Amino acid sequence: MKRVALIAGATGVLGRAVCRELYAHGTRVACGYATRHQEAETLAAELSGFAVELHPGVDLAETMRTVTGHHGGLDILVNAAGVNHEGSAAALGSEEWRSVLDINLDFAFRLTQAALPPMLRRHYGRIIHLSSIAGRVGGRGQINYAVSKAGIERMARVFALEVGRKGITVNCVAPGVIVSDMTARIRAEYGEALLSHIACHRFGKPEEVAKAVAFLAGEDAGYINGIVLPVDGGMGI
Amino acid sequence: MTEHELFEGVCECIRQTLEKDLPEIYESDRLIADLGADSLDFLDLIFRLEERFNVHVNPRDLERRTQQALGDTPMIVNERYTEAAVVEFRKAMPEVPEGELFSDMPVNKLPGTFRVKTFMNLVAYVLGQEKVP
Repeated sequence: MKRVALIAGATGVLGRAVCRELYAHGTRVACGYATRHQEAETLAAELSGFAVELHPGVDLAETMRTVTGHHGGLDILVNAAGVNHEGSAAALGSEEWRSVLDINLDFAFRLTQAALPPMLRRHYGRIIHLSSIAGRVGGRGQINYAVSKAGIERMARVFALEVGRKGITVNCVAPGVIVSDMTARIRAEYGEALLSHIACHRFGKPEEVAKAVAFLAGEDAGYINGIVLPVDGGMGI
Repeated sequence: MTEHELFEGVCECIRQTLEKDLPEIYESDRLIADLGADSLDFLDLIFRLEERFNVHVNPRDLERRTQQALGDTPMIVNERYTEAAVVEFRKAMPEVPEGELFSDMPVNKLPGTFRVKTFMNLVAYVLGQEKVP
């Protein structure tokens, strides 16, 4: 049976790689997008899936009905949606604080809740949130982002505790410094310093994160629950 | 379907949902306090009932029907059920002792009153075998 996955943040660098990897594993994909509709449509067409609007402003129960209506159910949720507004902790405005927490944490929570009914119906589910190394070590100028990622890891663990008995696992993948637009500034400013803390001595590729996600999304990962899987080349070990 | 078949079917779904060894289940058992269910189990149970009896059950059906009966009269004020709502609940759930359904009852307390019989009535209502207000 082909599994069905909904990917939030599918048009981002990591989301896109996850969609392609899951598709390569024989999964039907629904590509969730916030604003980049056309990109999502193009990606969905490439992967024989479909695009679905997915952000804090949509009715998530309706989104789940749309996905299950298209594909007959929902087995996998990957939350790759996230934003980052940098600023020093001492000066960060409440709007910059709130906007990151709203998407990276509140939305992740409501999205996870909304995915449970269709997964319960099948007595099976794989939920994977993309966290970040920032959730473990923090980072200058990233207090909102780091807090949101630390929160998502604890949130995933509590969900895992509560829904594991129903055949639903909830895990996180925590990328280190992956080559993407989001890390362009720190790679440019601190490239060598960062590399000196990474055992593999290189930055990661989106596809490497996607393979970890696909592993946790697979049926064979049914006894892995509530973990944070770092994909960071051995950063800070 | 006989009442006994309905009871046995609901019990089978409850056992599957709770994954517990429950040698005896009674119609008067409360799902939460007596059988150990939680809110996730409620949803799981609803889906299992749908599969078992080939029906579509809306988990909010009781509230939906109550609001229909009340018309413009509010069912909930400040996260508590109004007196009018409680009167309708008592009619819809005669299996629940009246004292457990009280005016000004917090909304989150209602699931705690649900009996095995409540789910039997829900399925029976959907199957159209029994008129429940």
